[in-house]
Amino acid sequence: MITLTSSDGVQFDVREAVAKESQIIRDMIQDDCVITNIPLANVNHKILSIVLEYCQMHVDKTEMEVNASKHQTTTGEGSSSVPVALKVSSNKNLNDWDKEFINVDLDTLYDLILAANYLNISGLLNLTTQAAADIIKGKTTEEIRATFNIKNDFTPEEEAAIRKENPWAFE
Amino acid sequence: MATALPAISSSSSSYCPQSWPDLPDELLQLIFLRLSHIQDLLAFSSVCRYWRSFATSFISTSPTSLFPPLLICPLIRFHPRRRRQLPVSSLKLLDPSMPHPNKLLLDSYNTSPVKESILSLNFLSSSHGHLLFLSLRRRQILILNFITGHQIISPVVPLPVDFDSFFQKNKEFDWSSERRLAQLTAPVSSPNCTLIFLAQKHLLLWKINSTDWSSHPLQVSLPYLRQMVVVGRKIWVLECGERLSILELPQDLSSKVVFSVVRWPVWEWDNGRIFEDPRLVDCEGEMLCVCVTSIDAPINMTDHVRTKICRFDISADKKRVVQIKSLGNRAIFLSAVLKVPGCVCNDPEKWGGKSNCIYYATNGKKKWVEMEAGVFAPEKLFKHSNRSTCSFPFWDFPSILQ
Repeated sequence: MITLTSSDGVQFDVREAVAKESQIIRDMIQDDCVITNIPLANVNHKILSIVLEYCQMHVDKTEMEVNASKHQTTTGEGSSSVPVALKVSSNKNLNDWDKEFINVDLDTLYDLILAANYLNISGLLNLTTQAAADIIKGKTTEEIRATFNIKNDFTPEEEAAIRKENPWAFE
Repeated sequence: MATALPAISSSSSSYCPQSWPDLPDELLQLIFLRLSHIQDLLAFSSVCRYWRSFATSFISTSPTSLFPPLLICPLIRFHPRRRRQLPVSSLKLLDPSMPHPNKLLLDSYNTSPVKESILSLNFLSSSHGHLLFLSLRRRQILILNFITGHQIISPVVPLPVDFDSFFQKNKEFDWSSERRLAQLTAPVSSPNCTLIFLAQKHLLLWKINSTDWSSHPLQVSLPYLRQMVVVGRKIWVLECGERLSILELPQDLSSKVVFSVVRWPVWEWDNGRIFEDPRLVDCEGEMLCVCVTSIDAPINMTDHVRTKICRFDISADKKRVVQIKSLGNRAIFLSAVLKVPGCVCNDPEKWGGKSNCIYYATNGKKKWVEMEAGVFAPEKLFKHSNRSTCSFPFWDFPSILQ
């Protein structure tokens, strides 16, 4: 077990495999195998608990698959069709789970992107940036500003020039 | 034992981003790369100063296109009796990555300030998101951004005295040959963008925003041209009848232009094998020869199309043509308008397109047909029946954020 401490001092005890979903923690453990407590200065407990939920789920799914295929080989049923089917369905379930998991408010999504980047969890980084891109897709400039709460910092003259250049963006 | 994780990274440790507009560049880039329509990109880059400067610098340094080209449908009318090409009157832009691609996106000439003057212009080509027109009256070339309407006008083209009669004679529209071609060497915003104008023995170069043209008389005349494609310093010219010439642009525009491969006849390309209707397509620096042959079928049979793709292998001591079986994870965009070069898009599945596919623009109801590269396809490419109102569309990547 490894203890991860959030920036606001909350401790999370997780299995090593779960913590190792983070590339940066994996590297630290490899370099120094006696680490048991890692303080994370940039992630608060709310975001860390969500990140760990993601890691836990992905580790569990992977282990389930490995066990299933081991079971197949040890029982000697030979045919590989069952594990493949199982893998496909579990991937599908995992994708559905991811989709449900990432259905969060924009402030949380923002914090998750930063946390995924900081901890270097590539799956979570892909998932979160894709979610952000999906929110932008199909929106006009005004809608993007309103959704992400971004202030229009162009001068009225610049805004007019941009509108003229990119008539599509403001349709 | 407790070990603290290092601070985020040296570059961004000095400030702590609080909300979306402060998202660091490397993360903004991950989101930006997952957008799949030009409209989304445009909307994104107009949100705030920081996002705009990010998008502008990213696009100008990105080597490959993130999006498919747009289909540009000029509404050209033809003189009913004399078959003369009348000027472009308006323009329709279609985005193949849109769910309803036949949507009219922009009628740019209706909003363009050149609406009046464009009536006297002669369409030369499209290059790097700009339509190139020659004004016969003013002897200048107009470079028009087909998205923004932004215009650049060249100095007077330094043509010899007999050129006036040459232009007058050349008003007849010919489907397969051109007497003059034009292309840009790079996006207009890049520092060394040069406009190339080729007519017979005259190769003229104008570095955008410089004061004058530089003239480069060629040793041989190239009277009937099909296509001109510019890759780096090399200008690939395909003549009618069919010969390939490669010209090399000088480092310094005042030096001479040289032929690096002098007029290589098509029948020598591959041991006399036939290349019907060849087109040059620049595929990330590699020059492809794509042949799309439409075969008219007898009555009651479907017309079909044969495609063949080769690669030019031109090294110091030998030159040859090598057939390739697949385009891989790419799509090629072609049209019947030879003077506008074809486009290549990587990873077309990202925006819902097909890999190893040729998108061929047609003037029918269906705006383009999709053909798997290298196979027969039961398609009809052209509708020749009503030339008086036909418009032949072509593809080009838009030039945005300039």
